[in-house]
Amino acid sequence: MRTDELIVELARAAGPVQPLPRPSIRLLRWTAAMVPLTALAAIVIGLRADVSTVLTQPAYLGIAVATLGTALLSAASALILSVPGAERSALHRVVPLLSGGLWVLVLVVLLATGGDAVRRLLLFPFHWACLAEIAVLSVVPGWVLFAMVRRAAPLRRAWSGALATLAAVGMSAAATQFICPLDDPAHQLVGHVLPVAVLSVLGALVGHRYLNWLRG
Amino acid sequence: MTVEQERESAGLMRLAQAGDQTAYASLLVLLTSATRQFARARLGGVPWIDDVVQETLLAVHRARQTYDPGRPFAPWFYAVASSRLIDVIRRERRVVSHEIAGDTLPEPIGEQETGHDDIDVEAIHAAVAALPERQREVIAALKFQDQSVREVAGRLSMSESAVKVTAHRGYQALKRMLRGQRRED
Repeated sequence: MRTDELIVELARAAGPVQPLPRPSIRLLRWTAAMVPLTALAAIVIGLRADVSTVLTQPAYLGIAVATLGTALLSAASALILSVPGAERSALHRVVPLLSGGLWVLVLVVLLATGGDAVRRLLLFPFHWACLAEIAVLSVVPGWVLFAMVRRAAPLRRAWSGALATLAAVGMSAAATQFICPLDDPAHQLVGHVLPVAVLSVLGALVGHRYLNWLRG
Repeated sequence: MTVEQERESAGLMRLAQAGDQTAYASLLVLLTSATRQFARARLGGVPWIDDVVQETLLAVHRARQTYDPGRPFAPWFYAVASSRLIDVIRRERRVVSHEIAGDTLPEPIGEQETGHDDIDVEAIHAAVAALPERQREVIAALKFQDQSVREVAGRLSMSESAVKVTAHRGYQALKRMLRGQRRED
């Protein structure tokens, strides 16, 4: 097909379109819908018995804030990356990873200060229940965020997929922290952080395959 | 893209988003020229510049709802154009690596090879006639009229790589048809 013919065809097929709201607005909408939904799901699953006590502990709150911060920053980056030209620097990709690094750092510091760190880690305190909770709680936020990203035009599909997944599983890991009664940083690293990292890598693969907006 | 072109493109895109097809056609014409310049500056005089242009126009069409009328147009457009340019370069590299295989029309299958003496040049001509119009034109020009890829591309207003891809697909279709005929016989 010649280019002039293509132009005629595209112009003929072009109806009015609603410009997508800015990434910040889309992030607000996702957060406003998904935080209460995830919190409600966590309550239905069953919060830990001492939740009101642990909420007064700075370390516990610090971990929760770092986890939720990672989730929200990842969601923001995924939405920004899905708009061509909106990403002006690599910072948008790096900041969520730094936030995730802060989450890991807090846990490592708590682990190290608790003593006998290596032995506690080598015991590999992994529990399938935590993985199941993280996975189940992330399904709806992840699905919705992938749909929002795909509705735009992600040019870096693997990054968009990884960040959207990190946002969803990060949020579900924050919720799982209010369900799981184990405060041992070794368990949090192995049972919460590791699944989040693995699922995010899988999200990159899924994103590369399914966020191809050019296929229509 | 000059400041004036940038302003004009942004205005046309705003109208296009509201459903103005004439403005949209004008925008696409303007972007055709901008994409061609952009691609030439990076690729030189490769024969598949038109592929980059057309891929970019299609991507602009599909992504037009993501342009924020409150922001500059050029960063949005060049992000799309760069992405399509990279994809077309990758595709061209793949086409080149398959070119030798794709350049060979399946020979009439001889009696010695197949044990059938009823598949001949006529069968191949019949199979070519059954191909979709564009594949038929390309293969007939390349193989029956001995025209070069460049000549065919010029005559049919296609890029050279599009001619090669069309021919390759035609050869694959011919192979399937001729195999099917052998099975039926």
